[in-house]
Amino acid sequence: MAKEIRTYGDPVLKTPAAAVTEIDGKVARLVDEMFDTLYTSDSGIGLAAPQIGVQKQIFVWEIDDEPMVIINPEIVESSGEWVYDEGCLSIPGLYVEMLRPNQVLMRGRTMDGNEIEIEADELMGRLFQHELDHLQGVLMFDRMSPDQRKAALAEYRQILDDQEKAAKAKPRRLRLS
Amino acid sequence: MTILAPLPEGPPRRLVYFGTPAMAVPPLEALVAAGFEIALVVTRADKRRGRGSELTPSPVKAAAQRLGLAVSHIVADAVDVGADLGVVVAFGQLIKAPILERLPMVNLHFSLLPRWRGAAPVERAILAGDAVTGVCLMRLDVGLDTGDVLDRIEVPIAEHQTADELRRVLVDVGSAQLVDQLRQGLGPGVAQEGEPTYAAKLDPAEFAIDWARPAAEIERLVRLGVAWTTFRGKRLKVLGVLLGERTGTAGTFVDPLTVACWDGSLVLDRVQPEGKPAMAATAWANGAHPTPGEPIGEPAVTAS
Repeated sequence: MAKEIRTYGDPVLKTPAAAVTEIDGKVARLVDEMFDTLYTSDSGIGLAAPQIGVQKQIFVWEIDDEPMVIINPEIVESSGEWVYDEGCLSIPGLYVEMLRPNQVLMRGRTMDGNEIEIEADELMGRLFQHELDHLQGVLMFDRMSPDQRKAALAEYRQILDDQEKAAKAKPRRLRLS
Repeated sequence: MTILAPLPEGPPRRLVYFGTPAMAVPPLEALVAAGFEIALVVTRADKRRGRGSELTPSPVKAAAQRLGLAVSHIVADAVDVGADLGVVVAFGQLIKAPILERLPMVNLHFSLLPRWRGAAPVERAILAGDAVTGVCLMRLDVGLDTGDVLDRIEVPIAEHQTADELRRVLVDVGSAQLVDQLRQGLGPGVAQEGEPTYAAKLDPAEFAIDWARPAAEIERLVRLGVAWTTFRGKRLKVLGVLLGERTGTAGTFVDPLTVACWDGSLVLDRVQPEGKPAMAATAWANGAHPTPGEPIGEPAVTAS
């Protein structure tokens, strides 16, 4: 079942997650919930456990129709630079051009408990870095320069205001079809 | 992490069209003529024009109604009509992330990006004296004209070409380009390269001719069709000028048709006096008889 996605301001997003010690039925259920939540979002391609309030080192993602899970991940190597308009389910509607390493090598465990290494660049490489940040209690805002953060926070506040206004205006909205 | 909706693979079928002014009408007509299904046309709200209280629909709205297409003024309506692509041409309003996350969009932009991102690319290219401009089909992202370029076509700016003339050429080129690109299916696009420049909306304060400026610069302003000056306390629209050879004191008549400016002169070709129709400058000069040395335009502010 899909869970509520925690958004910026929720303390759970600022807390580092704990390593998973045993991959049991509870973890399997959590992963199912994470995918359900990811699929009900319009734009999500990756989701970390803290985003649904669970302090565990797990994230899921789906790129090119391939659902994937990783447990206790770490990035062991990174190189290059890549600028990308990054967005986050916990900061809905905000996209910020972020500079981060391009290629990363991530190590972690699969649902079977086997160790796995995945090398990725561009979108997938960015997703790994973004989701790993969530497991460490780090959000996009924490990765920005002071100026960039100030502008991004102002923009996010505007987005929230717009959403509030739109929600209020809804009953009067004219529909054509 | 989130991403904006990916562009459809292969040719799109069902479109939502976003546009407002007259220059956004031909691309819409071209798409309809090419057989694309237009699920919805989104356009800016009707404006009150003139002294009456009647609402005037945008040119795109009028065209959509003529073509029998559904129209909305609400951007969010675009996500509920089962379209696979949004096409944006001079819509006049930024489209925000929550919409772009649900419907991928492309934008026809009338400049060679990243030069002249923003609202007035055609006018800014002329004012800057660019020799070449063009049309870019671009993937719409959350920035101001920052998306990846899917296709670009260069268009030279002819000497003395007016903004209206250039706009017509660009719209023709862009309409054909849009249809071609959608028919063949959109590729991945390339990131914009180079230093961006920004085409700010024109400010009416820019339309007043400052005769102390260089002749070439004033000529470019006149080509936008909005330039004006004052003569004997009344407004005079200046619709056409030619570069002159004579010189004199900037802001005064050298002969009944020639006005001196910073580095030479301009010969008036077409003008529109206040409250009168546009006319050849010769016809105007026959009536007004400007005398040599007579000032035109606001006198320059001098320290006293």
